[in-house]
Amino acid sequence: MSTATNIVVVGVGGQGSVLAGQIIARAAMLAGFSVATSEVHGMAQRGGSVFSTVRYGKAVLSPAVPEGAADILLAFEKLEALRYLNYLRGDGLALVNDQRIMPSIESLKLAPYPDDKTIEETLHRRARDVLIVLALGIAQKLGNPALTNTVMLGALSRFLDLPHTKWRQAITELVPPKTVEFNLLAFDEGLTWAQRHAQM
Amino acid sequence: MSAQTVLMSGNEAIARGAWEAGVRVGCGYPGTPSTEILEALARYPEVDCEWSTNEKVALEVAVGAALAGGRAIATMKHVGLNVAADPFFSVAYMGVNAGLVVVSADDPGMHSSQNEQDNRFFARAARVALLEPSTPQECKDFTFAAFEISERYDTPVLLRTTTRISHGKGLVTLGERQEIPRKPYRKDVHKNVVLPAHGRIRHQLIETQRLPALEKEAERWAQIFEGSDDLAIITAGAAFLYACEAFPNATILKLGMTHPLPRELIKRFCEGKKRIVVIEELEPYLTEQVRALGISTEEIHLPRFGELSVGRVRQAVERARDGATPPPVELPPLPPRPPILCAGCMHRGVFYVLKQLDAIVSGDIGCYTLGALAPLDAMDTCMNMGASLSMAHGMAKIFSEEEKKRLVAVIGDSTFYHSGVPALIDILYNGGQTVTIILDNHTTAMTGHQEHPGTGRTIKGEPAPVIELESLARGLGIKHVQRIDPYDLLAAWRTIDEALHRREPSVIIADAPCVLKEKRRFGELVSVDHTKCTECFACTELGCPAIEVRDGHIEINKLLCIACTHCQQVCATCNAGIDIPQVLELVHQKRYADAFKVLLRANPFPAVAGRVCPHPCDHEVNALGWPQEKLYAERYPDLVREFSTPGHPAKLSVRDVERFLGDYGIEHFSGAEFAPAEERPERIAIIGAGPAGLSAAFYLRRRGFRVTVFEAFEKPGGMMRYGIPAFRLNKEILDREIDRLYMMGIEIKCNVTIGRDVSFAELQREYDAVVIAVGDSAPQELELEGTSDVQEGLLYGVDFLRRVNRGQSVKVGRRVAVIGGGNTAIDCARSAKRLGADVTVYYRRTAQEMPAIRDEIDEAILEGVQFEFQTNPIRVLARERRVCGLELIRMKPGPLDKDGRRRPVPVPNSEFSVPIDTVILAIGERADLDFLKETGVRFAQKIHTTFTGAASQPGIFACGDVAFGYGTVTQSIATGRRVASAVTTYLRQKGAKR
Repeated sequence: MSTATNIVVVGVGGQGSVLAGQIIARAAMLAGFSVATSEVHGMAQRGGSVFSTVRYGKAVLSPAVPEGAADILLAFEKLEALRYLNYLRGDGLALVNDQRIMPSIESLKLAPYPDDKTIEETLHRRARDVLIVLALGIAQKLGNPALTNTVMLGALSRFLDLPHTKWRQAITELVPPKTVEFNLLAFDEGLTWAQRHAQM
Repeated sequence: MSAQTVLMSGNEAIARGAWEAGVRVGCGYPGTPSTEILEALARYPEVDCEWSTNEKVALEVAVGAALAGGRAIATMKHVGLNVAADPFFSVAYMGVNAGLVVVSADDPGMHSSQNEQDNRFFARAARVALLEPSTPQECKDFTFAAFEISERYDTPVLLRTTTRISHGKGLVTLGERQEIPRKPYRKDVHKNVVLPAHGRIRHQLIETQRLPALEKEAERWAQIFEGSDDLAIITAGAAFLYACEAFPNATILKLGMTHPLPRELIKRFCEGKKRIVVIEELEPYLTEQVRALGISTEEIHLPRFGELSVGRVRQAVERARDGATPPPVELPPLPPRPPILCAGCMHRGVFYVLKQLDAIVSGDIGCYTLGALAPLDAMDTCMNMGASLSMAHGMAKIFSEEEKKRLVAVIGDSTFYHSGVPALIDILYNGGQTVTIILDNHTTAMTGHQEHPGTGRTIKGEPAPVIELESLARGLGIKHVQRIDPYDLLAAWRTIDEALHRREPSVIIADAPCVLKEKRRFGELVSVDHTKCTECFACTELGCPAIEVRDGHIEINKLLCIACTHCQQVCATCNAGIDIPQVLELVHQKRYADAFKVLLRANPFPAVAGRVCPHPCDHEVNALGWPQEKLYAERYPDLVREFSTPGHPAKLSVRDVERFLGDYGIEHFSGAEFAPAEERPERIAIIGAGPAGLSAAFYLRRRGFRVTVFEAFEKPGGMMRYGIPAFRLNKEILDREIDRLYMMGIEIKCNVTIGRDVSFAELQREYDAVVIAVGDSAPQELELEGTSDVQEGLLYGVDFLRRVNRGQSVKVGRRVAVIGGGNTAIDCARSAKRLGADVTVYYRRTAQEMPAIRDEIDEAILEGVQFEFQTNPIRVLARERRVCGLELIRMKPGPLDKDGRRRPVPVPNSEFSVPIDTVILAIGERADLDFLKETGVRFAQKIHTTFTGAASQPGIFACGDVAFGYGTVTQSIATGRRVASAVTTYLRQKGAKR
């Protein structure tokens, strides 16, 4: 079962990480892989920390990704990237959207939001590769911050063995019909960005 | 045609399995993680689905359908089966006609539940078949088969999932729907009327026939995965998945039917095995039964609580970390991110009002349970669906009259239909007086916006009659049924307050749609006017995620704000963060004692503040754009008449109301009334008895901590005593207000200087927390030519005021120059004037830029103080070491500095001299922080703190000017209150760790 690709998707409730996980799973499925995912509903919509997993491979039964077993940590928010960092393998890749979403004032009374330097240093202590993706910035340039996730998926696709056409098909099937064109554009922008910035 | 394979969640697969099995009826009540089963099932047109009012009703409807001859399924979360337990146990005896499946979705880890009960025991207790799928494919297959099992063995089947199974997705191969002809309905009273005589026979049959037969059936649902190592695992459900991942080479017995257990098969499996472990989540349900068979399974350390993970399973069995897993890296302390009420949520308005009213709130289950969290902190209890009303009714039987006047039950609309109605009937029937607030957001929000009897739609989206809450309550006979708009805080306050004072039961319906569902925006987005914001943080008491603190300043997050206006109504541009709207309302109602108590929640020195505060509360529009002046005038013409602003008869002077209440408080309260009800063991040291330090002391003592304040001077009060001149503040008022603190049990040690008489390290040792509030008591020195050898005629502002305030003799010459533009400068000028001098204030910027309180400048002008703006001293002129004049230069605005202000620059060749006898330098104050050297506490001119006042060392806090530098008494008071909260949080966390 170690032949599976393990992806942990994290973010803040309302950022759309559930849909992103679905798109990854759909693309993997279209590419002929066996797929398992897990996500948490309910409270997650209320701005809380959100964690989901996507696994695909030849024969995947369980959606569970143990700590230290994720190949890729796909984080839509920086603080959440740190929170789930230890799910990543020692030689894993942290793909982090360059966005800070402040937790509530009450939470910040318990601990401050770590500064960028601390975040990057900590990420590097675990991950072999860290890529901070300017996804929010790219999405804003495209005119809609809601496209951030799709930009991140584009960047993610640079590191996965799933054909570009399958990604496009998965996006087309799963995003609201009116937004397909923009999402495909955002996906390609993310991919291009990652191709330009990734050393791997 | 080849079978279609799709990606499905466990819940969707259960619905699919039921559909393929020809199910005719589906019923349920929403509850995470079960909700999507019925939502998915309702999309199949062949199935008659309904959201039932509760799980008991749902199961009864399903039982009826099954008896009538159609296959039926009832879905619920684990705690829902508690509600449905009555029919569940009875139908177990009755048996079925057509197949009946009950789905219980358990929630180990409590992702979205109030407990993590293990519902496998329900099957065992009720003597019915239990199936536990592990994958989405199994969810479909097991559900399909469950109907057949149900019919073949005449038993309801409990299909139990857990969150990971329900919400996990995987590939599922689809089948076609099997059309099952309706089974004929047969009247069979011996089965279907559960008289004792019938029951006795049924129970016997179940034990002697059904269960033995099912035990054979259970063997068909077990699978053995042969492995290569000597570890043998018995497992089921989600635990199977973790076991597979953790031990890929083990031999695994995977059970599909876990009640009854296939005992013979388990025995056979265990024969000859060296190491046998049972891996299961929550209770040792399998373990105990396997051991009862005489099989010795290995003792492993799986906790009975929490959700399993691959790591936990591996650790429990191996008792050490697998070498393959890298050790976790240590993370910096991270702020948690729990779920939170959405920006603009209607519930926030209701809970804010309940907090204003200091209500005792019996809460219930739903999104609004989040109202229990800080800062709203407005819920006392939450137990189970519908319990809010009945528990409140029970509390009222014991509570005092005073407590009863604070007691409310709060329940959501869907929860009220679910099980609030019988409780309301109970209250009415049994003479209760409980105030019930129904939070009617027109949907079942928490579980993802399901329809309910009040929405006018069925689960299929078809129109349905609306069971109207107001008519329902009135129909029962509740006389006082009122609607409130939760976005009108004052109106809501009035309605709830009135109901609390009534001696009859009442129902208040807070009526507004869920903002997450409607996605509406109310109006223009709110923004902060930073020229007005006092940084009192009153708006943050709402706990709205759109209100953020960035670099110590309040900002509104435009992506989240929906302009609900809650924060605009809460803002009163008050330096101390007083709840002015509530205070005014209470004064209007002539409830002065109540009003005074509300004042004291934010400001322990209202009589002082009512005299010295620069009263930003009189802005026409507040810092968040709300027309407060107009609203006060409209609401309270009586108060405007009584407390009008001098020169503005139509304008309410809130400060005068505060002074009135402060004086009322001095007259009517000793302070002992505010002593804590319960003592806490922790001791807190506060350095400095100024407004910030004393405010921190007051609010910490209120919470029960043992507080000692160390003051360097001979009396407490700080700038209130030694800075503000007596003509602005009668020191007797100050003494009376400080007396309150003594009466509460606060110890104030005067004439103690930390770093000289007592070391800082000693405080750290002796106390659980230290709050530094030493203020800016040392004068800022000005590098001015000619000052070094002057011996007479040169004074520093704070020293001068302190000596005047102590009644010491201070001599000034006839011509006095005061340098500076702040409050100290103006106080010095006015004090010097009173000593008979001709006084001129020299300030390097323009009159408009002067930071001193406007009123005080005006008073100074009236008293004859002269002002020279845009003028800066360059040299003190002295004769025989005595000041005899001052050389000055004219200034003009220069380039912008980092704060966006224009830095004044000298006008070339504009130097001039004036004859002067005394120069008072009042260009600012600084803190003397030498005692913090080598303590590790980071500071420069100020102590570095978070916005709440936590310094760089744990357990060390700072407030007032030494940390924030606002420079007014009232703002310092606000920082003291804030630091008290931070200290409390810190000590609570520390206590929790212990």
